[in-house]
Amino acid sequence: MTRFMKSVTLTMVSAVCGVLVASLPLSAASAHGDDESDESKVLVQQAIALIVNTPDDQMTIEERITDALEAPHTEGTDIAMVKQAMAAFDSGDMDRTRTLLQTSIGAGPYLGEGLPPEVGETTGEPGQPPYAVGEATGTTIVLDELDPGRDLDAGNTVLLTLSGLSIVVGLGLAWRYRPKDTVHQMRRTLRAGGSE
Amino acid sequence: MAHGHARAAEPTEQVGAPPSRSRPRRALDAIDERMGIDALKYPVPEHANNLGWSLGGLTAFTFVVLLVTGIYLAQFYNPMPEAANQSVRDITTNVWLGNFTRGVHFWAAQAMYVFVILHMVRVFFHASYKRPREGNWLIGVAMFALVFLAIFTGTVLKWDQEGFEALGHNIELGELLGGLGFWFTPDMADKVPILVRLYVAHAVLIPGLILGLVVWHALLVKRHRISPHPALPATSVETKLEAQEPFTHHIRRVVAFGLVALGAFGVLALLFPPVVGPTPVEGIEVTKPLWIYWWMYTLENWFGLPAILWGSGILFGLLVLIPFVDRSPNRYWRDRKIALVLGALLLATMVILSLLMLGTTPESHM
Repeated sequence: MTRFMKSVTLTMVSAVCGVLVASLPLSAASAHGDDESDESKVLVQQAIALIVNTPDDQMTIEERITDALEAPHTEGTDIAMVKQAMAAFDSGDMDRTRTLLQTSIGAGPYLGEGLPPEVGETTGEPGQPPYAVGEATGTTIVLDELDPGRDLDAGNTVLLTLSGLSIVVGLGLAWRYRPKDTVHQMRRTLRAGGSE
Repeated sequence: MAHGHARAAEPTEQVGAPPSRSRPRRALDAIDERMGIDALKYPVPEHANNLGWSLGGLTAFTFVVLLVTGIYLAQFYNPMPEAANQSVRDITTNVWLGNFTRGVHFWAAQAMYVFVILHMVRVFFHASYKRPREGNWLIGVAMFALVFLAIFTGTVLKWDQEGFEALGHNIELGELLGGLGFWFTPDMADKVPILVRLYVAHAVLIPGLILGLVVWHALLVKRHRISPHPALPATSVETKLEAQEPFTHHIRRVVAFGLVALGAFGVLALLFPPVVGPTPVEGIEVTKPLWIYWWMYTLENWFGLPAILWGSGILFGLLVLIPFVDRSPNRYWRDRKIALVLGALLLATMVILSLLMLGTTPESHM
């Protein structure tokens, strides 16, 4: 067995050991599961997010609204309004469904005028969400995706021209400063020298 | 007294051999003398000016573009969870050159990832990591990992559904790692939004570490010299077969390539500007990550969340092992066929896993 083959074998063995060691947490992770919330407010917000992100997945949206209606913890949620949202959903009016769902949890952005609230505390004002800490999203209203699009107005046309100019100047300079000899030429010179 | 010194120096300039220099040249020389820029003029072999051997420099150029655009964006970004997504929308719609700067930052980040990979492939193909350059290869691998982290944290900062789902994976993986992943979980500082900590990492810790490693990397390149081209004899410089150029000429050509890249980032930023996704909501998994994470995504779909951990562990483990496993003095590709086949297999695996993602739909793993 050559030294190199020994090295390759060592790599393979190391890789297999790595896989085995790294696979150990697999069972722990399987137990992690998909924990669904038992709070109506959270489930309503998820239903809104599903409407925004995956509007074609009607089944999942319906499931999430149903879960919100059946959840044991309904604090901060106007369940009657969620029922209206479900009726709107059944009639196929997605815009009204979304508006009703948002209103049912009193959604309103934190505008943050004046001093910020204490970390981890609510502002004490009705309708204000807690100050987000840890991994809390801080989301109150689910906004649609913002796509700036290709708006080639006068300013952007200037930027596009400058960018194009940068490419042309760069290519010109790269050509001007290219090495005198390519590696291929040097090898040819070497071969010619060797044959003399 | 100063005049006296100047007069005393004049005859030397007139009588001495050097020809009279232009005023800008004299100014540049004066700066050189005081700032030591001349130290950059150390000789490097001519092949270092080829595109393939300039990829490291091009990566550094892109890093500078990211620093400049990142500093501008940081003036308008608000890292509090309630406001983060909205502040990115403001940058996109209300800030002067905000959309363009964000677009350049977005495309430059992905280009840097591509340039790092191409640079590593070049180094691998030419076996430039072999003795005495093993240490510099390891520094390069560390920088690759940091670039990976920088793009990940950048994804989270926009605080949309995609970024939040990426963060969710990050937290779960941190918990799987136990004590080692403590920093990545919100438990470490439960009175602070984790977004703020990731912002600090993205804007200070990671670029700072990359900067330090770039300096170390460049100093080692100078100390060990640019590696010889394996297709040429090691003595090609001594035998005058290959010319020597000052390193400043290498920088000059890197800047030329950099201008091409910068222009391309500008064009992409204007024609394909990055979107800002919906504000995030916890408990759902409906988005796909940025293309650079697709290979991990496929692994996750097949084997669950821990696959991301062991998949990246294997990748970086193999990269670290390369210079210690392949220790033969052979550098020419014809003499290293097994190493090249294994390297190509690794790359092909990542590409195939990434392409497989195209046909999968998001599944909940958290």
